[in-house]
Amino acid sequence: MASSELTAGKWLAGSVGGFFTTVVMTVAITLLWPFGDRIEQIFAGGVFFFVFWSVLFYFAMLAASGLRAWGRIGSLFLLFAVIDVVALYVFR
Amino acid sequence: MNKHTIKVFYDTHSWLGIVAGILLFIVSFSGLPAMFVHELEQWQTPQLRDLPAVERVDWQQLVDQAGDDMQTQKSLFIVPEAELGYATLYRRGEDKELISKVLSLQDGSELQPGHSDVAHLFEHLHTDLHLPSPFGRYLVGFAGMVMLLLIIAGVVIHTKWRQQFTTLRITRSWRLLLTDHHKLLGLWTLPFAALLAFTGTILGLLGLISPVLALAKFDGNVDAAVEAVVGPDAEIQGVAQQPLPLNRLYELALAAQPDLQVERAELTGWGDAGALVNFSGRARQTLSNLQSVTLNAVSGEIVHQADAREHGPFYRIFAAVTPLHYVMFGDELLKLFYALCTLALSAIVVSGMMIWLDKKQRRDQRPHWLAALTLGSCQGLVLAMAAALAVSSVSHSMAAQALYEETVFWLVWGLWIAVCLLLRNLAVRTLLSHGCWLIAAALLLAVGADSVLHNSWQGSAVVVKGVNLSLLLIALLSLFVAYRLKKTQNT
Repeated sequence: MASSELTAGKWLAGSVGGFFTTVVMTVAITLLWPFGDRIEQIFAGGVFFFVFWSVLFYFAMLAASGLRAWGRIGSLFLLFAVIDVVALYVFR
Repeated sequence: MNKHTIKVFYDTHSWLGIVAGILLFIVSFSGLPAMFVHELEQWQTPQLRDLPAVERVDWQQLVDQAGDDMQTQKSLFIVPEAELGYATLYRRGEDKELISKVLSLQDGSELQPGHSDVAHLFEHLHTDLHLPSPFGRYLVGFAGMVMLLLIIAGVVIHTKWRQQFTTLRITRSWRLLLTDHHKLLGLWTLPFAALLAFTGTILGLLGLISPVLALAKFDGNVDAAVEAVVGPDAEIQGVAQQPLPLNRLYELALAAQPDLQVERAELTGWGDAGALVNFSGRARQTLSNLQSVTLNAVSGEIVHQADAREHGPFYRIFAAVTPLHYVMFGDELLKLFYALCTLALSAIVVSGMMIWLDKKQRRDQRPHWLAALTLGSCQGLVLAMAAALAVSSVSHSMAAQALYEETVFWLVWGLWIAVCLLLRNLAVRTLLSHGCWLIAAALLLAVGADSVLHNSWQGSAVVVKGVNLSLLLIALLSLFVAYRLKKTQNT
């Protein structure tokens, strides 16, 4: 049963966890964006980063519990962190 | 959408609004003077109001007349205002302090612009909350982010939006008036609020994340990333060499980018063999303020160009952010529309907080300290700005004018917060009404003093008359609100 209660865990997962996940996500977009020069690729990741953050924030808030919220955000963080590492150290 | 989802969005909307409401009001309301900073600069300097406009800027004359105190191996900035007839030159001193000088565009003579800084006092509240760099800017960016989250939640929870578009029950209850007002204004200004939140967050927070992205894309060399965007730094060689005339360099820059509307020139290492000059500004008919041409000042060779139109969509979006946020396009009517929407946005923030606090007060049967703090901070800011304008108007030609403006601004704001907290047992409407009387009085004093001391209704630029007229209208609006509040208390 999903809980509508807003807990500190959800708030932290959405704000702090969401922020760091957004950072690794935008780094991944910057590294993988195939169009334009390097400056264009930086803006491709950076210009909409807070839109991603907003989505992640509500993704965490809509979780059934604080733990589940961290689970959601944490798994995305790991996914994008792996993409970053692979893009930075394997395909370069 | 199921009930669980709606409830989560509703609760998040409420809590975010309560926690960040005062900050949101400060940032959104201070956006109003920040949008009109150019007009306020003219208003605050009667000495520069009636200069004749010039057709063409003589750049070389400005460099020749700059004087010894503006000579620097670092950057000297020249900002000409052809329509206003003067140019501002500025540089950073040894302790990073700003050293500036104002020259006439007619003959290059030095002008005395007075000592007021009220326009920048308000502008800095919007851009960095007068906090140390870059924390203030980030905090303003976070406010934009919170605004975006509130907008998203607001859209989700207002399911009966067709009906709410036209509902405003003025004569029912205070609570219904607040609720209808919040929803009505929220719906009507939704695209504008989203645009401001979007652009404001980019301006405030991109600096937080772009170094990380630059680090990833430029193999850890952030300087290389900065150089790719803004061009190279001058390499001072220690060998004196005569640069080309600045007018000639300006022509070369325009030959490279014919529709560049130059707003600023930056001279680095002037007089050295490695000197550079950067002309930057906007492109005509384009939403971009990241246009620039950098030239070697000795040879006239172009060393770097920034032109958003030659980049992809994301660069163009970024280049359009500042013009969109500060209305650097369109005419005065568009600015007026922005101003009205900014006022509406500020009113939405306050009414949203008041709804929550009114609900709490009914439940607890006593005024909540947060209601008093909200009233003191939000109305206090308007009152403090009005008081600063009044002081600015009456203290012209005094050397400590900027100090008086700033002192009165913070003092009045703090005092009104204290008054609201101490007298919180009074009805909110009573305090609100008294505040409105004071705001009107301060604004009338500001306009009255400016009219009498500087004869501003005759001969002054249209912009100055426009500022005075706007202040008069706000004063009349405050009087009307005060009168209505007093009347509703008696009934």
